[in-house]
Formats: sequence, structure tokens, C-alpha cells
Amino acid sequence: MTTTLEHTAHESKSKAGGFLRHLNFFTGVITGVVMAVIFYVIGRVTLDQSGRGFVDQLTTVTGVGWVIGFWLGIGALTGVGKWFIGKDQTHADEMYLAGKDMGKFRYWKYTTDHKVVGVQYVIVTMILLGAGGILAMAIRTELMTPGNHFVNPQIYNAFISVHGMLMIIALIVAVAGPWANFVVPIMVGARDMAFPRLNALSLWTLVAAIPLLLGSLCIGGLSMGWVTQAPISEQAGPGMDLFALAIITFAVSTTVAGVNTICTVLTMRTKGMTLERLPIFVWASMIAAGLGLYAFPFFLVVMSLNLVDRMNGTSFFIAAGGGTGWLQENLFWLMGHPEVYVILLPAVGALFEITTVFSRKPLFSYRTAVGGMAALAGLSVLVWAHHMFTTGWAPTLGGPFMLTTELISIPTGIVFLCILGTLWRGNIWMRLPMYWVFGFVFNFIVGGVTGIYLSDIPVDNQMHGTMFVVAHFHYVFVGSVLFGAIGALAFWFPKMSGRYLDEKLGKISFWLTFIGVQVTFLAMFVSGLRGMPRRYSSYSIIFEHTNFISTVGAYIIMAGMLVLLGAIITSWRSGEASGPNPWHSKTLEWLVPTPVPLENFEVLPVITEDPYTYGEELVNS
Amino acid sequence: MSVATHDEHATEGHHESPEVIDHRQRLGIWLFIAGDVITFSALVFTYLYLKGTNTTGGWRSIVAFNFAGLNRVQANDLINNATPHRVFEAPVATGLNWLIVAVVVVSAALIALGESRIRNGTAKSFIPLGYLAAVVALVAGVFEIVQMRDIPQYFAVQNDSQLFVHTAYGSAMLAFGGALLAHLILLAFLGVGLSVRTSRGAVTAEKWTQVRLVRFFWVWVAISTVVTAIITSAVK
Repeated sequence: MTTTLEHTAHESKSKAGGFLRHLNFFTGVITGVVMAVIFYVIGRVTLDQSGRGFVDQLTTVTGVGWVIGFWLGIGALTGVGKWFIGKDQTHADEMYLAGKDMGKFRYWKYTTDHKVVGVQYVIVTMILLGAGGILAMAIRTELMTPGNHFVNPQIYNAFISVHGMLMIIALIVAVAGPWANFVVPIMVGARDMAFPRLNALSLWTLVAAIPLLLGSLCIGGLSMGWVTQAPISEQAGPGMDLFALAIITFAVSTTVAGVNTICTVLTMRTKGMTLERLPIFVWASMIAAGLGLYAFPFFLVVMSLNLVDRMNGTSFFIAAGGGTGWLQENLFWLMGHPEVYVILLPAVGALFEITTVFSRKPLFSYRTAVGGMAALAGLSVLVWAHHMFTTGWAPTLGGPFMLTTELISIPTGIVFLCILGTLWRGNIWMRLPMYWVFGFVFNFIVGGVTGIYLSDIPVDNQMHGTMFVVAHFHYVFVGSVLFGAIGALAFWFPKMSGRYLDEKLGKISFWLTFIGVQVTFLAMFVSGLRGMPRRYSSYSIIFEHTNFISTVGAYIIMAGMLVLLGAIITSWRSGEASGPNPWHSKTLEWLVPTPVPLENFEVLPVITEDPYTYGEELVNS
Repeated sequence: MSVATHDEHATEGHHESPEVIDHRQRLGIWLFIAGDVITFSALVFTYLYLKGTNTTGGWRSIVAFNFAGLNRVQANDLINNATPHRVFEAPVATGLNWLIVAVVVVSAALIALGESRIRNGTAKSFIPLGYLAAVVALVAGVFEIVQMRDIPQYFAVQNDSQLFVHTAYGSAMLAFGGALLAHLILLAFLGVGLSVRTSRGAVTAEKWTQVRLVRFFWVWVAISTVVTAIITSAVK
């Protein structure tokens, strides 16, 4: 027999979430496709078909339809609509949105719980890395021997462009996405991110951008590399339109995510969590978010201007109309170099955490490490023109930009020394995360030092546009950032899943990847030093051996990544149970139960000392 | 990290005070505005850079057919019978430029007035002011569309391909105009939304902080409009 009270409670429960109950990823995709078709038809009917920009306009309109439709279908705009009509979400709605009692299906929905968003980011990052990796293997396979074999030069160039952008996006979110979401709120003693709905918005906006980026390959791709060099980008096929729209969408996603991270850290710290007691990863995430907030508007603007040049006959980057390609380069690199540190800093922050925990030592010179990261961020906005040394733009500024670029090696070195200082005389516990730390240390030296070479104008004049540059930034991005991201995954995997990441498979993956990186990119340095230009699908016979070695190395990296994927899947399903604090860490995320409760803390903690007091009991005794 | 979990702080439970939420939202809107300031700065950089470089003397002139004021038949005649020549483009009307500024500033003032009314305890009086501010913002948008339509497009023949093009100046003005238009539509949405919320009791004399957040953004848009007008009036 059901009482009135029970009936009312049941009715109230069934209404929680309202219309959102019917929305999920699949409805998002369906609505996105339907809206794209509708926008396409409207575009065909209303746009001037004889106009020069018709195809670009139609492509862009269709892409916009997809994004709006996906937002509508997943429920991203429901909160906005409710706000507009004055019907705010109830507490029950908020709980529903957070995924309360929803089971595993919450991972397919517009869920606001930061831990769910963190897991979703892990999956999205793996998809991005997988797609970018497949393109990388296609590229390396094509380059194994001279001549064109599997793809024609046009498709090769399209692969290069989309591979570059997929990997850049993947690495931007590889650490900041999963871990700034999953652990930062817990690390600062908060129950959630500052703006949970914006948190979900940033994730699903990124998801909306992926089909646009991959779709650009299906409609002709683009031939000018991920930097979308003008005026070549003005002449590219409609793939460029989807590419630009993907970047604009991504810029919105990262801006929203950055605001959320900064607000969470600055306004949601628990009592006693002063700025000087912030875990170093939180500092790294916040500095990177602030830098992203500076950098990505430039990305949005340069892609928007590119798009309107193509669609509406403006002349921003077209010399015949009074524009200039240098404007495109300046705007792009105003974003492009800070973005390197948006990618790098969260990885460095995660490695700091790992290093101090597994060395059982306090972080070496905490304030210097924070200052070093802040200085890196500050200087990174003053170096953009070193990407343009050979373009002929403002030669008189070459000296100053060379100086600022070389200056940036100082805070980089400081940060690096802080990691080494923490390792020095530490009681090192060689578990899986530490392997990736040592891999990072080695690779970052190679990537960093070759960067100093390239900052030197006379050397850059020789090396620019060669495979040497490609090898340099792959040492930084693959050898350093990806190693940091995998180290972070190995470190926080037990908190996320309640299980260890398989040590044996993880170590096999590490050695394969580490050896693969050396084989691939050391050989690539040699190709570059011998003068092999980048972005060519075929090459002279004199580069054959080093390219063959690079391709073999790439296959070794691929094997390492497949082993890692296997480790993740098997560990998630049936790995060894880890308990809440397997590493005996002292930061807050390890002091809450695993799985972490919906609101993280039953009662909010009060912080009474620094996070890295490892070994002090020993010293004090 | 040592923690104590039994403190008066802990007894606050899972609900935060309105002051804490307000502080967080204020920081959030300031950060979004900071991102918008960077975006706006990129457009200003674009305008000044194009003016400074004046590539191929094309800042406000172009080698093209001038289609301004011609119908399709006249345009075809022009293409068939005339050779292209360098067309010099007049800058957009300064009066209209500053009229748009004035209208946007008025809309910001209306929102600010509405906010002060709410804070003084008369929430209902915000409703007409919010609607009015939204309408005024849309009027500014209409003026902006008029200005953008007045920016001429030329018919150029380049390497045997026929292009409709804008000069660098016209392009930069379109960028400013497009960005402002997008902002004005957003402002109108926010103004109407706040009025609806006030009429439904979601915004009251006690719960008015969202109005302040919107006012911050509205004032920033007005400031950006003033800065744009100053730059585009002084540097043509």
C-alpha cells in the first residue's frame, strides 16, 4: 500500500532533473545531426549560391548547426533556458545533474559532478590521442621509404594538419582535463568545482569540436599544417572551414574550463588552505588556466578572421585587399607559444606531486617552484615572434625576441632543478608513476636544450622548417608532456578507479614508449640536421635510413601505447584493489574514501599544516 | 597535510552562504570579462596592424570595380566595359559611429539604474528598465547593422578569379561591428531574462546579485564601444 506521503515523495523524485532525464550523449548526437541537416538545407535555400564564399558559408552554417544541436540534445542549454524563464534548478535537479543514484549511465550524460567530468575527460583524451596516433602512424608509414606509397601529397598534408591539431588539443586537456577536474576540488577541500554546469559545458563543448575536426578530413582536409598558414589557408578547401570552427568551439571550451579552475582554487579553498599550503599541482593548474585565458582568445580571433576572409570576402590575411599573412602569424603565435606552457605546466605540476610522494621528501623549495612556473607563464607571452624569425617580419625585433626566448630557459631550469632537488637523496619508491618521472626528466633535457639552440637566430635560420624542429617539439610534447600525463594517470588511477594501474604492463609500456621516443626522434634530429624539410610526403634518398629508423621507433611507441591501453582496460575491470591511499600521500584527495563520495567530504576539513611534510617526523625525532 | 574535521567551519554543512556564492560569481564574471578584453585587444591589434602595414596601399583603397549603388545590370556593364581602377574608400560615418556608442552607453545606464532600484528595495521597478535596456541594446544593434551594410564591397579581378572583397579597413570595421553585434544580442537576452526573472520573483531586493554581474558585463561592452569609436575615429 502506498501512502500519500510516499506517493508525493516518489512523484517529486521522478521529476528531479525534469526534461534532462531524457537527454544524453546519444540524443546529443542525433539532435546535432538533425540540426546540421536543417541548417544545411536552410543555408542552401537562403545563401547566394553564385557567391565565391558559398561553399564555405554552407559548410560553416552546417557546422554551427551541429554544435547548437549537440548542445541542445545533451542538455547544455536547458539551464540557460530555465534561467531565462525564471525557473531555477531545484536542489533535487542539481543532485540529479550531479549524477546521484544514476549509476554508470551518468558518464553518458551532462553530469556536473567534477569526478564524473574527470573520468569523461580521460576517455575523451584517449580518443583524441588514439585518433591523432593513427594519423601519426599513417604519416610515419608513408615516410618509411622515399617516394609516395599509401597516400597522395594532398592527403598527406591533411593528415599532418589534423594530426597536429588533434594532438595539441589532446595534450592541452590530457592533464588539465582529467585531473584539474577530478582532484583539484578535493585537493583544495571543496565539494565541487565553482561552476559545475560550466564544467560539464566545457567537456561537452570539447566533444562537439571533435567531429568537426575529424570531419575536416572528410571534405578535403587542409594542406597548410595545424598553424593554418595564411594565405594558403585562404585557398584551402572547405575542410578549413570545419577546422576553424572546431578551434573556435575548442577555444570556448577551454575559456570556460579555465575560469572554472581559477574560481575553484581562489574561492573554494577550505579553512586553513592558504595559498602557501596549496598542493603544487593546484598551483600549476591555476597558472595554466590563467595563461589559457590569455592565449585562447587569440586562437578564437585568428580562426574567426580566417573564416570570414573565406566566407565574406574580407581581406585580413589577403595582400591584394590590404591584408597580410604576418597578421595571421602574429595572432596565431600570440596564442601559440603560451599554449606550449598551458600544455606543459599541469604535467609538470603532476610530476612534482609524484616526485615528492615517491621520494618521501618535502617538495624542494616550494616557493621557488611556484615562482618558476609563474615566471614561465609570464615570459611565455613575450616570445611569440621566435616562431617568425625566418619570415622577414620585424628583423630589428629579432634580438629582443631571441633574448626573451633564451630568458625563458631560466625559470624552466629552476622548475627542473626543483624536481631534481626533490629527488636528491630521497628515499625513492620506484613504483610505476616514478618511471614516467624519470622518463620525463631525460626527455625534457633533450627537448629543452634543443629549444635553446632554436631560439638562437643564426641556428634557427638553418634549422627552421626542418625535421630538427619537429624532433624538438616532439621531445617536449611526447617525451615530456605525454610522459607527465601518463605518470599522472598512473598516480591518480587508484583514486579514480579504486585499483592500481597494472605495474607489469605499465612498466612494459613505459620502456617501449621511452625507447620508441629515443629511436624516433633522435633519428629525426639527424634527418633535420642533414637538411630534411618538414611537411613533405616524399624526400631524397639521402634521408632514407634515418626516416626508416624513425618509423620503426614510431611503431615501438605505438606498441607501448597499446600495452598501456590494455593496462588501463584490464586494471579498471579487474586490477588489484588499492584502498583509499595506496601511496601514503598527505594531500587531501588521498584522505577521502575511494570511491569518492558525491560531495567529497562529509564535513569540510580544516588544514593545519603544509602538504609535503614527508620525513619530517624522522627529522624531528 | 594535517587536517582537523571537527571545527565550527565544519558545521556549516553542505550549503554555502550567499556571500560566498556572490564572491565566486563576481570573480567568475571578471575572468570572463578578462577573456573578452583579450579578444577585444586582438581586434584592436588587428585594426592598428593593418593600418600600420598598409599592404599594397590597400588600407582604404583597392584595385577593383566599385559596385556601390549599382544594380546587377549596371554591375555587369561595369565589369564588361571598364578596366579596374584604384577605388578609395571613405571611412564609416563618424556620426553613426558615435551614435552607436551613445545608444550602448544609454542601455548600460538603464541597467545600472535598474540595479540601483533593486538595491534600494524596489525590485519591480527593474522590470521595465531591464526590458528597455534590452530594446535599446537591440536598437544599437540595428544601427550597427546599418553601419556594416554601408561598408562597401568591391569586385576585384585577381589571377583570373573574380572576388568580392573588402578593403583591410572595411574588414577590420566589419570585425568590430560583428563582435559588437554578437555582444548586443547577448546583452538583450540577459536584459530580457533578468526582467522575466524579476517578474517571477527570482530576482528580488534580497537576491539581486545577478543583476550586478550583468551590469559589469554591460558596462564593459559600453567601454569597449567607446574605445572602438575613439580608435576608429582617430586612426582611419
